[in-house]
Amino acid sequence: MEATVPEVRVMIPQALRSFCSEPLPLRHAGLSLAAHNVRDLLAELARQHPQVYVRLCDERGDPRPHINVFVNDDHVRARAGLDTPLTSGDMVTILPAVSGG
Amino acid sequence: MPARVVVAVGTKKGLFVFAGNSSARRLELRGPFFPGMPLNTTLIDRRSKTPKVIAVPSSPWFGTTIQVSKDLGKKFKPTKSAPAFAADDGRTLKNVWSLAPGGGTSEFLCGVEPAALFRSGDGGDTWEKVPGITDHAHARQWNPGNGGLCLHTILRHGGALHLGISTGGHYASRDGAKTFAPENAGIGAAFQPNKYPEFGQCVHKIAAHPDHPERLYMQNHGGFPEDPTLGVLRSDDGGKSWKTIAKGLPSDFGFPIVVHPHKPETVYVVPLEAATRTCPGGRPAVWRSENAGDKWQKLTDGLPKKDAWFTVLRDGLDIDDGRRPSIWFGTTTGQLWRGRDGGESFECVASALPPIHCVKAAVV
Repeated sequence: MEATVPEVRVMIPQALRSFCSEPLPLRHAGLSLAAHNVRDLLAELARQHPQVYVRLCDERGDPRPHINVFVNDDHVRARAGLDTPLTSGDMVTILPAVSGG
Repeated sequence: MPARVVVAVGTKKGLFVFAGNSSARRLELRGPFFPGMPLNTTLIDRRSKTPKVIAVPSSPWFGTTIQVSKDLGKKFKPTKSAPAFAADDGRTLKNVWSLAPGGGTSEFLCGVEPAALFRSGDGGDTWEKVPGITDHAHARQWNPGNGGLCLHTILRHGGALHLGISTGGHYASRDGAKTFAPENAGIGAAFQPNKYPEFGQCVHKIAAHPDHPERLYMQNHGGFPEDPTLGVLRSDDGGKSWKTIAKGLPSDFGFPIVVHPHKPETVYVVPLEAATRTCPGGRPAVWRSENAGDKWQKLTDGLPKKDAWFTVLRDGLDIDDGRRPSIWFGTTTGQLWRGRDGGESFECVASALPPIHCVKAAVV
């Protein structure tokens, strides 16, 4: 495990950017957060951007059913779910699923 | 100044608000608000000087918010939070099905799926569960109906708080929402081996008039054709017992039921074929009783005469409170209908909205 907490970039859905606690400087800048794994990352998102978090996660802290979380190119369910470890420089992408009708 | 009517229409794909002079042929259409998001309930709250239109969009992706408009549906602003279960409860909020004014001017009650009740005392900014029903010993035994396990009716009436749960039945509190008890005597459940269980009925909607505190009306899940006495019911003892008033209707199945604002004996239903949940024979009608369900009258003037196979859902029917009130109903085929003079003559207000889930109308 890295001695320091890994810093990662977090891309959130366009529809939620206005709910960030501070305006994002660039259209695709994303958020810069530090966490050892995805679970901790979501907790950090809840702390820093609570209005984004409540729209992405349910009361139990799980991503809502139609929200997908990727670490780099991998869906977290193909790795260790919310326990998927993060390393510095990782890109975490949170996207709404292709669903509806 | 002429009376203005406001009609909030929640659909599968957002909220539409119609507003204008109540006697006008056409109303201004605003929206869609919250495009793409389904709404199962809206509320027109007139307890304060400035009426509020309150909408509850539930995004399939991003969850539920409570949205408040203080300018009759021109702009909406979210409250600071929406109802939510505790992290260790085990349940997660899927939908909101009912929003009702509480006792104070800033109090709201909110019924959700899975069936539970939440209360806000600050205009919807913070919410707390109402444990008397949310943690009731029966709560984990209720089963979902086709629409989900929903607490869809909140009715403060006659000094009690009445709740409708599908499928849980009718529960009432007579101690300020501290405790709730099932009050289902006479309410049938054709889909259970015991047709009259203590709880577990698929109540569809409950309505009442404030001038008759002991009387309530119910559209229950009907038993047509095997037992057409189950669906439309009345209680004359404050909800403790119920009896059928379905005689004379083409089907006892349906979803909504509403009471005329100025005539406590006048009640409306929209019977549907039980098997298809559509208009009997493809010929839609609103049915009205002017004597508390003893006799029923078919209202069809202006409605399609044939080949109309829509459904009117549990919150898809409302009546405004103008001097000569209009009946309003929305269909799953996206039509909004207005029946002037209590349903004497219908006109199609909008013909191509998304599937309509709920309609609320008021004169402001």
